[in-house]
Amino acid sequence: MSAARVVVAVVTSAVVLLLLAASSATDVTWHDDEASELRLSWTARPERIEECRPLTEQERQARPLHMRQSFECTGHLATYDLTVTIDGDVRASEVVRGGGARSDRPLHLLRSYQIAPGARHLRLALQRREVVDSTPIPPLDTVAASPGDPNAARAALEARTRHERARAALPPFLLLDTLITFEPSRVVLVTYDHEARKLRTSRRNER
Amino acid sequence: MNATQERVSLTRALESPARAVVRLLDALANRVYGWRWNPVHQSGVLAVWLLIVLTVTGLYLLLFYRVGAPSASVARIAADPWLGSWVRSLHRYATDLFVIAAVLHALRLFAQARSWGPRRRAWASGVFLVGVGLVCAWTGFVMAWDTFGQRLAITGAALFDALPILSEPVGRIFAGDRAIPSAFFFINLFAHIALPLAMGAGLWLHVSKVARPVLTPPRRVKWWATAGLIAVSVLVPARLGPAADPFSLPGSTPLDLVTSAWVPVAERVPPLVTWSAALGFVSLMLLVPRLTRRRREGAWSPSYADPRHCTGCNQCPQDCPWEAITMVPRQDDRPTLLALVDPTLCVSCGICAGSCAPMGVGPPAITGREQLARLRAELVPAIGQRSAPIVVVCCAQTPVSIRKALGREGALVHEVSCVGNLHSSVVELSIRHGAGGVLIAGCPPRDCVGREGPKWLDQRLFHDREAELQARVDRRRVRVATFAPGCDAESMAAFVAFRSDIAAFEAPSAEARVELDVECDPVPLAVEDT
Repeated sequence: MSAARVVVAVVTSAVVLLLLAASSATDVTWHDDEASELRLSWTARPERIEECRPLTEQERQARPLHMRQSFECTGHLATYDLTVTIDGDVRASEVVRGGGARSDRPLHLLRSYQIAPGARHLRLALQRREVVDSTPIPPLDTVAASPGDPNAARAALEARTRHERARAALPPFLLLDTLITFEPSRVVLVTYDHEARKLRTSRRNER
Repeated sequence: MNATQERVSLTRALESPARAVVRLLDALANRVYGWRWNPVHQSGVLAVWLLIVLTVTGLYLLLFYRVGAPSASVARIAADPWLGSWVRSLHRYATDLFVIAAVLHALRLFAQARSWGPRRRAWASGVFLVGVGLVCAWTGFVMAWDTFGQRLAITGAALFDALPILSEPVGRIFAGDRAIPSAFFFINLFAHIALPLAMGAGLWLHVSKVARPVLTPPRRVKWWATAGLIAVSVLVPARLGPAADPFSLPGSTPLDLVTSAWVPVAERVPPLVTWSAALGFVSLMLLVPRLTRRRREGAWSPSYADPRHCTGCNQCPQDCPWEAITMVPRQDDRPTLLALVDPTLCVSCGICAGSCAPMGVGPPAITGREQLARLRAELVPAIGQRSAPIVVVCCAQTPVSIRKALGREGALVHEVSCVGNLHSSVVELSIRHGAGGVLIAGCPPRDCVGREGPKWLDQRLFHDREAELQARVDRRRVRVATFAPGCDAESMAAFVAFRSDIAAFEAPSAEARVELDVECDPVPLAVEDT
C-alpha cells in the first residue's frame, strides 16, 4: 500500500469507528420531560369466598382418617373493582382478579399512570365485587375439644389455618384517599402493606 | 408466467438491489484499503474474530463484576483509567461491530445467491447466531444496570408480560416496591456467559458443511481492526448512564442504536405488535433459503462424474470446497474407484471440473470438454484473426467497467463462472492456437464465490496440482491476477504489464491441430488363462 493509501485507510477507519462509538450511546428520549408517574405494584392473595357446611359425624366416619375435617368448603377467589381517581377524574376503572388461567393464583397488580406534576387528590379504591360473604368461620375458642377426642387437634389446626388465611387475604375494601405532591420526573409508588392491611405510598428506594 | 418463473422474478428482484449495494460497498472499500485488506468482504471471519475479542475482554470484566452491586461494580470498572475503562469500551464496541459484520456477511451471501440449497443450514445457523448474539448483547447491557440497562429490562419485561406464560408480571421486579433480587442479576449473568457457548455450537454448525473453513481474517486485517477498536476505546470511552433508580423517570437515556434501536419503537406500540413484527422478521429470514432457491438446472445443475472418463484419481473430492464428492466402488469391471457427487451438497461452483485431468466431472456445460468446445467455438476463431492477442479469462464477478476497458485495449475476454473451474487445457489450447498470453483474473481470494477458486487455480497452473498445466506450456505466457470492484486502474495496470512482458518474447506460433480432449475407450482388463 502506498503512503497515501495508508493515510486514507487510517482516516476512513477512524471515521467509521468514531461513528460506531457515537451510535453506541446516543441519547434517546424515554419519558416526557417533567412528567410524573403513579405506579401501583403489589401482590396479595384475594379473599376466598366460600360456602362451608359442617360435616356430620356419620360423614366424617365414612371418610378416610386424613380427610375427616370439620367443615367442607367450596368457593372461589374474589374479584375486585379497582378505581383510580386523580382530582376527581377517573383515570382507571377495571376489574382485577387473581393470576393464572383460572384466576386461582395470587393477585399481582402492576399499573402505571402518567400524572402532571403538582399537588393532586388521589383516591384509590379496591372494592370486592362479590356481595356475599363467606360462611362465617367459628371463632377459635368455640372449636369443640372433648378430652380424648382424636379429632380435637385437627379441628383446632383447621380453624387456625382458616383464620390465618382470612387474615392474609385482601380485605373486602381498601381505600387510599390522600393529597399527594407529584414531583417532576419522579414516581409515586402505591403498594399494599400486608402487616397493616392497607395501602401506602412510597417515593424512593427505602432499602 | 408460471409459478417457477414468478418465484425466480421475485428472487432476482430481491437479490439485484442487494448485489448493487454489496458491489458499491466493495468498490469503496477496495479503493480505500485495497482488495487484499478489504474488511467488507471479510465480514464473516471478522465477526468470528470479534467474538474472540469479546470472549477475552469479557473474561477480564467478569473478574470485577459483582452480582450484588451491579451498577457500582461496572462504574468502578469504567473509572479505572489503566485497563478497566478501555477494556469495557472495547467489549462494547466489539459487540456493535460484530452485529454490523454479521449483517454485512448475510447481505453479501444473499446478494451472491449463496443462501439456498446446500447452504441453507449455514444460512439458518447464521440467523440463529445473530439472534443469540443480540440477546447476549442485551443481557450485557442489563448487567451494567444503568438507565439504559433498566430501560432495556423494563421494555423486555413488558414484552414477556404480554404473553400468557407467567402469572406474576416480570415487570414487578423493577417496580420499586421491593429490592431487585440478586437472583435476577445472577440469571442475567449466567445467560450472558451461556449464550456465547451456544454461539460456539452454532458456529460449528455454521461451517459444518464447508471443507477447510477459514475462521479468522488475514493477520493484518485482524490486528489492525483490533488496534483500531482499542484506539477508539481509549479515546472515546463507552458511556455509562446514571445508575438505575426505579423511582426516577429520566427524560432520555444513552441507547445503543446498533443492537437496541427497536426499544423506542417497542415502547410506543402494543407488545403484541412488537412480537408479531419480531416473529415475522425471524420467520422471513429463515425462509430466505426457500424464497431464493432455484431449480437445479442450467447454471445451477449439480456436478456429475462420468464413469467412462473417471480414473478414480481422488483429486476432485480433495478440491471440492463443499465435500460434495466421495469415491465409491465401481459397478463395472474397472479396478479403480468412481467419483460420486452428492447433488444435495453440490453448489455447482464447477471447481471439480478444473481438477479433473480426464475431464470427466463437472456441472453440465462446465466440464473440461465443454470448456474446450466453447473455446473452439468462441475464442479460437477470434485468436486467429489477430496477431498474438492476449486472452483474458475472467470470472462472472469481474466488473463490467474492467471488461469494457480490456476490450478497448484489444484483449479477448473470455468469461467463466469461476476461475476455479477453469481447466488448464483451456490455457494450453489458447496458447497453442496462437494467443500471445493468457491472463486469468479472478476475485480476491477471500471473496471468491466458489470459496477456493483462486487458490486451486494457482496450484494447478504453477504448482503441479491436478489437473496441472502441462510442462510443455510456456509459463511466461500465463499469469494470474485479481480484478476487484473499484480497482479498475490496478487491474488494467496488471494487464498492461503482462502485455509488455509478452511483447518482449518471440511471437508464438499457432498449431494447426491441437487435440487435448480425445476420448479413448477404456483399456479392457487382460484375462489370465488358468
